[in-house]
Amino acid sequence: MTEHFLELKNVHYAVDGREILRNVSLNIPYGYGIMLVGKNNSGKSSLLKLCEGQANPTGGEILLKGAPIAKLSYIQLQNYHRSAGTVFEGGALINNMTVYDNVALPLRYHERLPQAEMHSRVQAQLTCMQIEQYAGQLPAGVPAEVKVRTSFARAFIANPQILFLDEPFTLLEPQMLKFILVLLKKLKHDRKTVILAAMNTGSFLAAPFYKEIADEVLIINNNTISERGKPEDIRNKLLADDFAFNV
Amino acid sequence: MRQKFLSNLSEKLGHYVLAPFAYLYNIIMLLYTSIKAFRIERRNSKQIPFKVILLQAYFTGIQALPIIIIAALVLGIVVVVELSTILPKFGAGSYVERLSIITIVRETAPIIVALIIIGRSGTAIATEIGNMKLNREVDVMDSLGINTDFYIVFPRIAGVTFAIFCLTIIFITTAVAGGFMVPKFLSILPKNALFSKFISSIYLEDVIVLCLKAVFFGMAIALVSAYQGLCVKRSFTEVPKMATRGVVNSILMCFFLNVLISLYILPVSGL
Repeated sequence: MTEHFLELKNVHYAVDGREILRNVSLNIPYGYGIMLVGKNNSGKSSLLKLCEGQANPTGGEILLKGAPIAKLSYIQLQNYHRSAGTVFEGGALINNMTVYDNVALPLRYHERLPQAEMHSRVQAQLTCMQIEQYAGQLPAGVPAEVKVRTSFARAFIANPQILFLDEPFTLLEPQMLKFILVLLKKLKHDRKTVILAAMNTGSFLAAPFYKEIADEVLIINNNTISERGKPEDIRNKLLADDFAFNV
Repeated sequence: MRQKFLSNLSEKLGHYVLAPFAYLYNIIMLLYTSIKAFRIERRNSKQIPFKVILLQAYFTGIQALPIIIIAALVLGIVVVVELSTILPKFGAGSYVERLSIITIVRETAPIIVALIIIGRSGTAIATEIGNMKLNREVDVMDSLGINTDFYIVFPRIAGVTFAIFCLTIIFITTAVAGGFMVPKFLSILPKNALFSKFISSIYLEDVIVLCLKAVFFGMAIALVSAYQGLCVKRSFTEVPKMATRGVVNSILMCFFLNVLISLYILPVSGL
């Protein structure tokens, strides 16, 4: 049995003939933390999308637990998505649902739980993220930071095996950021995989906490992985030369 | 130069000729994937999103009731009074009831209800789904394993179709009853005009045509609007463009279906 949760082999990805990613190879073991760093439109979100199985590569292959993701049946792919949690920048909450309903959405859709059990699980997440007082409100009426916390609650509620985080920390207060980092470290300790995309090298350099959740950092430049290594090594390298200014 | 011009011209002409068929194909595929998604998700014991269906039916049906009743009343009065004034002059007074029924039940009621719903709900659906795409709500649902055809498109089809069906029945009831009673009360109608004659002029085929039109118009409006919403890609400026395109295409689709059902599926009989 393969030791890798996800494997990307020479992946190419293009949309409408425009190249987004070129020759990306990557092995992601269980309980691994990967951080993708790159400019806007460098292909980070597309790489996340490919890893999530939301898009198929135009070249190469992506394996999920050893099986090609493109050949998974609808149910297998849905089970994979069910076991994944996603947090987008700004939260990306469903705007016509309350904060409570947003958090409850994955449970309501995938699991037929008794009302009391579902309520207690949702309530526990709301309490954990300190957003109980916003439970009945629509996303339009809550602060931006609460939306991100709600998004984390929604991602955590179904006990995900893998977390996809697309620029999730920008709006968080330091206290909450610290708390979420503790949760992410705990998830990693439980052999859950974390894939995190961050805006640019600047935010990576300015926020050394990333090294606590990332086992490996990938710099994405010119549609491919231009640099990879341990967070500390990449950080030192970036600080040592003018590489950071070119990324 | 001339050859290039001709080649470009034929390419453009080909595009314009094929575009409506491609559009129709996409709409039919959206219907197919929604029904397929419904079947698969039900087999996987996923709960039907009743709340979304009911909200859509509420928004499309209940909230549109006042305008539907006013439009029905006005139309009913105008049709009945005009026909009962004009037809007797040509010695065709005995056709007033039947022609009123054909005009209201078969032709005008379904299309007027459809036009009102396109203006109210069609734009709302296209705008809502377009904004959902831009806010990455659709991406989030996909990444949570929620089938968007099942959770976003199907409830809109079910809600709008159910609402249009109910609104058309209410429209006809109001138009026929109001069209008879108000002129009768104002003594515009001839003294021998009886409400029971109006009711007995409704044939089974009228009801079938009415049901077909209501169901097909509802599905067409929901599908076209949802499709246009899903076509939004990058920018907020695309949303109003897609909503407008949704309105125009829904109207065209309803007119096309109206002709198809009225002239080819069940033409008028019983005059």
